[in-house]
Parts: sequence; structure tokens; C-alpha cells
Amino acid sequence: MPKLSKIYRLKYLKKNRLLTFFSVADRVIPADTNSPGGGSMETAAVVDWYMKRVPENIRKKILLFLDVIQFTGLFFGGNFFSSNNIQAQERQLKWMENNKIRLFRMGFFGIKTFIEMGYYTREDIWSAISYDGPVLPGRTYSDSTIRELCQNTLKISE
Amino acid sequence: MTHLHYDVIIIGSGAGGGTVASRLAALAADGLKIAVLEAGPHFSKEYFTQREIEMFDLFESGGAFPSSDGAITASFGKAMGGSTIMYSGVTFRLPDSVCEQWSVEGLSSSDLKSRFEKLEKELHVIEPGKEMENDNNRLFKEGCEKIGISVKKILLNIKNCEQMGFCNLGCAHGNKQGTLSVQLPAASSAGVELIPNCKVTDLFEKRVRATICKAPPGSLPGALNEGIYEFHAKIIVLAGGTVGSSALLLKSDFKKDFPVLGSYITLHPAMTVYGIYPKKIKNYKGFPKIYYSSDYSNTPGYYLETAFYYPFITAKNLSLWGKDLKYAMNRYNNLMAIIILVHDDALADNKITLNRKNEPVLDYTLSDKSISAFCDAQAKASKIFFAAGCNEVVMPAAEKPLFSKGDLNGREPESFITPKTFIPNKMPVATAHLQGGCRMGRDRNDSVTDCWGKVHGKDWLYIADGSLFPQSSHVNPYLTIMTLADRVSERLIATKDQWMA
Repeated sequence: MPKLSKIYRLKYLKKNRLLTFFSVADRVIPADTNSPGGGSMETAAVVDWYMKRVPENIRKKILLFLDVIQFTGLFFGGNFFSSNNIQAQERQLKWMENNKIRLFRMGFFGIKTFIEMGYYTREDIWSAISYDGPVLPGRTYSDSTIRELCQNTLKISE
Repeated sequence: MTHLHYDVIIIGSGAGGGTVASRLAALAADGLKIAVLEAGPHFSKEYFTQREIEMFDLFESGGAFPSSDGAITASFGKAMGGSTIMYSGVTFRLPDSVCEQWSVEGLSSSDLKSRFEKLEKELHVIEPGKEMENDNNRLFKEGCEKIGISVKKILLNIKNCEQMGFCNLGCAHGNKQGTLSVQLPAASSAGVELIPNCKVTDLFEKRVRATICKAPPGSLPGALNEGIYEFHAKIIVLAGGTVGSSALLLKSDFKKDFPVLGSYITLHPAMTVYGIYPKKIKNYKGFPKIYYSSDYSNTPGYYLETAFYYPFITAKNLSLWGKDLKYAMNRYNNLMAIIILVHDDALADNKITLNRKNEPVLDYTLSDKSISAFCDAQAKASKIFFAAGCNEVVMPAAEKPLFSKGDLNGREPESFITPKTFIPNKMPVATAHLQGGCRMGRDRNDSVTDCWGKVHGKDWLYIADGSLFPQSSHVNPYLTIMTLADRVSERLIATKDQWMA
């Protein structure tokens, strides 16, 4: 493993929100023998990088919905979402996904989409699903950070 | 504020704006001052890295401009070339029957026909050969034929295509014949100025106010410095698309004179559905779209087309999570895909409005009819996948979204996929074909422009984009947009002496 000298510091997914993100991401994309789960710093960092680029109102809603998930966990397993067991977490997310209240469905869809983006744009995951990636891999991008995050060549910290 | 004077300014550089720019190039060569103002950056083909997250730059809102109820995300370009940068080059003529339904006085299918022929030649529209048929396309055709669904070839405007499969992230070699490759370079060579990063904020009589921003890293710089400008022109052509053109007119207080402004939006609501084939078929290799079926175009009202997308968008489209998502994505190289394009009705309540910050909002509600069409299409798609040899399929609106033939227990897919299980905001419904908002018609009570794209009562103002459509085009719209832009240009050239005077 090469020593990673450059650091990416998370700007939006921090502390409790990061914990919630990890737990939700592990339910949306659980680990299996083929590849890791979604709840990792690598996925969080890609999502965090992209959050800077989305309109502020959408970013705020996504972050707020992470808090909603965390607190609503109390009704499903007696603890905050990230401390509940897997069954309670899954029950809660299913409840949100199919809820009669549109805001819950929207929130879940939004978070799920961000997690999928953070996970399936990572190059280590491409190899796990046998996706070859670009035909022209040498092309550079104007912001090297996201390339480095997707290639897992940056150290990530809170 | 800097004041600049032109004869013609064109706002937007996609299928409509790019076409007007190229048609008016002859006037520029004769000395008229013409400029294209594009809100987005000017990327060269070298910018296209074939990576999803990086190429979100090409789109407005990263390709996920949400409807106000969050149930649909709209994807459209925000760069020089507009949405022709990331379309697949799918070329359809507006069907004669749809042109008749539009019922716009002065717009006939015979008039459009000659323009289609001319444009198809200029844009190098071809029928893809057998060598371009990848497994997804081949299996779609075989599956359809086995169950009696007719299949037709999609025409494409590509030249020397290398079939890298990244059309929707920008063609890295510029072989897709969109406006960035064809019309805009031709216009620019003739003297039309291309002004990127230029966001028009206000429209007044014969002038617009715009802010020019710094060119983002990696994009081509424009000739003008950052700042606020007023562009004065004898003729202004709006080509910012359904959202852009409608919003600019709404901001500029046109609604009081044009009650239907912003209304009657249609958008071909789309869902991509998947089958899991027992062998690896690597559908992201090769050209993604070769075949379609229009068998269900009249009733219930949709097209089925072949498609394929990259890992993140595929994961989103699958609409699964947990073990099911992992299961399907672990079989990414076994996935077959079909995109469903629903013909939605033009309804007054589906509209572009402005929020408190004067930003555009897409108010759109999926109708019961569209939902029924989606369910029927998913049932038909599952039959096609099974007939093609897939063991399992993923249909977001099914009782059980990931299912095998055995899960049906002898039931027909139509009874397994019904509007009861189609839950808005859970279904990944998207659109890349926004239409309407500045519809053509007879007068200002029922429309914004006449059949030539001239705004009623405003001899200096034209519209040349998909916002002109009075109803859905039923088909991928770029060629129809170019055809209408061709009509706008023809009218401008024919009346040049009047407006130049």
C-alpha cells in the first residue's frame, strides 16, 4: 500500500452525520464476499466532494434528512439509527421508502442516490463489478481531487 | 456595465441555437454581427473524460434538475452545444400523425419533410450496420421478435463512430454530429461569435442583460471578460430550451401578455429497466442504441428503446437497495437494458414557474395515464427480457422488483406490475426530453409564438428550441427542434431587409 501524503478533509459529513451516513450506506449497499459495504470513508468522501457542487438548498435537505433518519431510529429500535441493529435499520428504511408522506420517500431516494454515486464511481468498486472504466483513462480532469478520491489515492479525515 | 451592439443574438447553443447560428452564418459572412450567448462553459472534446462524476459538469444541476415534487429528475445540457453534447444521436423525424395532432396552422408535415431530408444529410444521419449491434441490441431484437413485437432500427447522426459507448458523457472524439461538432464550428468560421459562460438574466425590448462568469478550469475561455453586459440587437432568438427560454420570459414579465407561457410542458417521462442475462454481455461496450419498438405508441402510449448506462446511473435506475442491489450490480456485465419513453399529454398544470429567487421550477405531476403506461411497458419489457433468455428482471413498479419467471406463479407480468405498486418518489423516473412552455399557435391566448417561432406581436423576438412544441413529439426531439430552428432562420433571412432597416 503506497503511503498517502495528501489529505481530503470532509466538509459536510462530520461527526454524527458521518456515523449516520455509514450506517445508512451499509444498509443501502451491504458488504458481501465480492466487495465492501457502502459505509466507508471512501464513499463518504466522494459524496462530500460532490455536496459542495449541489445547490445549497438541496445540500441542506440531504444533511437534514440524515438527522431525521438518525432521530427516527428511536421509534424502530429504541436507539439512534446508527446504534440500532441491522433488522431495525432495514425496517426503518423500508418504512421511509414506502411512506405515505412524500417527504420521507423523497429523502430516502435522495440519500440512496448520493450513496450509490459515492460508491459506484469508486474505481475499486469498478473492478468488483468488472466494469472496465473509461476507454481513454489517461484524460485528466480539471479537479484532481475527485479523481484521486475515486482512485483511493488520498488520505481522508474528518 | 458594458454595452455591446449586434444585429442578431442567439441565446443558447443546443439543437435550436446551434442550428440558427449555422443558418445565419451566411449573414455573418456578409458582415452582420451575430453572437451566440451560452450560459455554460465551452468544453472541447478533450474535456470528456468518460467518467460519470466528472462529467456532471456538462449538465444543469449535475443532470438531476428536480421537479417540484421530486418525483422526476430532468437532465439537460449546460455547455456550448447544449443537450446535443450528451444525447446519443438518436434521430427521429416528427411522425406525420403527431404533426397533425399538433395542429399548428402553417406547419405541415410536407414542409418539415424537406427540412428533415436536408438536415439528415448535413448531420450525417446513418442507419447503423450489423457491426454496431452489441449484445444488448441483438438480444432486444431477438426477444421482441420471439413474442411478436416489431422492432425498427434507430437512425443515428454519427460519423466514424468508434463505439466507445460513452455518448451520454460527451463524445471524446467528436464523432457524434451534434452542434458542438457541426453547426457551431461552421458558424464560428463564418464570423458568428460564440460567447460562453454568459448567463442572460433579463430580457428587454431589443436588448438583454447578462453576466459573464470566469471560464471554469479545463474549458475554453471566451473573448469577453467577466462582468455585466447589455447586448443590444435588432433580433433576439431564444434557444435556451423549455426551462431556459420559459424562465427568461417569465422573469421578464411576459406572462401578463401570454397566459400560456410556461405551461403545457411535456417531457417523455422515462424509466430504464433491466434483465439479468445468464452470460456476460458487457453492454456498455459498443453503441448503446440501435433498435426501438413503437408497437405501443398509440395505446397505452410509449416507445421502447435499447439503452445502457454506466455504474452509478445503472444503480440508481435499478431502484433496489440492500442485498438485491448488490446482487444486480454484481451482475453488471450481465445486464440487458430497455428505456421506456412515455408519451405524456400536454396539460396546462404542468409548467415552468419561478421561485422566490426568480429561479426556474418544474411543476410536473405524473398523470394516471402515464403511470399506467409505465406499468404496461414494464410488463412488456419483462416479457422481452425473458424471451431473450434472461433469468431475472428488475422492474421497479413490480410487487417484487427483482423477480424471476417462477415468482410470477403463472401470472402474467401485467397483473404483477400495476399502478398500485407504482409509488412516485420511489420510482426513478427521469427525463431528457423537455418540451413546451412557449408553444406555437394562432394567437397569444393559446400560444407564445406563431408557426415560425416569432413571438406574437414582437417582431424582434423569436424562439427556436423544444419549448415551441405544443404537445409531446412522441420521439427523441433533437431533429424536430433543428427543423423548427431551420424555419426560424429561413424567416429571419427572408425578412432581413425589414429588420435591418
